[in-house]
Amino acid sequence: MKKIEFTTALRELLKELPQKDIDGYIEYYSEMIDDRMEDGLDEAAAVGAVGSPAALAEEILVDHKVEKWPKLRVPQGWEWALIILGFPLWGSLLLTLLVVTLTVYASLWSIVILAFAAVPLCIFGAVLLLANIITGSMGGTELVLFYTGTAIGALGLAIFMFFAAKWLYKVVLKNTKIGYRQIKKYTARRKEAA
Amino acid sequence: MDIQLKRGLLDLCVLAAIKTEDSYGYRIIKDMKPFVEMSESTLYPILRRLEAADLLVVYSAEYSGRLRKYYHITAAGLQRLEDFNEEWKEIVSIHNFITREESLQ
Repeated sequence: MKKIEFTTALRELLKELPQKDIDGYIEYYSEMIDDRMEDGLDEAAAVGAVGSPAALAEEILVDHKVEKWPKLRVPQGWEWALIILGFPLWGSLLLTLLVVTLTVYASLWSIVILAFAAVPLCIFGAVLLLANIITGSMGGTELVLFYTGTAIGALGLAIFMFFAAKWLYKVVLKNTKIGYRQIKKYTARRKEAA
Repeated sequence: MDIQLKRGLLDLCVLAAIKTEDSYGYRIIKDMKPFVEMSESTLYPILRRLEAADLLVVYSAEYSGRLRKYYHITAAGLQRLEDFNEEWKEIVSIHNFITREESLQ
């Protein structure tokens, strides 16, 4: 690899860092390559000896990620006053956010419950129809056929809804667990940085 | 080796490399090679840390038509090396104690 390819590649990989830091790294490794070439290595060997841009960038970004989390600090005296004064604003916003989140989450579970509820309802409907047919309170063979068909359809729907409900239940549960774990990871990382 | 311990020791190595005369990145690594293996990617954060702690200063000087960064140890840096000499005596006596226990068994 040529030196210019190396620096271009490295620059690209580090692009999310502050410009000053990027320039520092590029200058540093550029110098290393130049010094190695002076020692007698050709350009490709010198660049190779310094390392691959990808490997170097990975290390560098890991170092920088540790600095990314701002340290949590205790608010000072006057900052507390500001927090207390602003409570009506951020308090109600926070409350709204909580309520909305809980409502959405509850709705998800309502769907699951409804799906499960649909099962006995469909079965019940089917039973009713069949009962009517058997006791003969329905008139006409066409009607009987129609209601028999509907009853069978309802039973089929019940079976389908049962499996759909089971699936929905699993999905909501799984995503709840994932969400919970993410929240734990996030709070743990912030605690670590503090 | 414990990573924190190694980090501190490598910092001292770099300071020692520029103790008697100013040096530059590649040469620091070369000088350390018979004693300690250090890669470029390890050296860079050390140099930045030492500079931030005012244990060394950086300046650019011309060399063969290009600019090269040189590192110069400060008084504080020299003091740090002195302090380590004292710390070393303590480490030796701790080690003596640990190995003394072994010979008693």
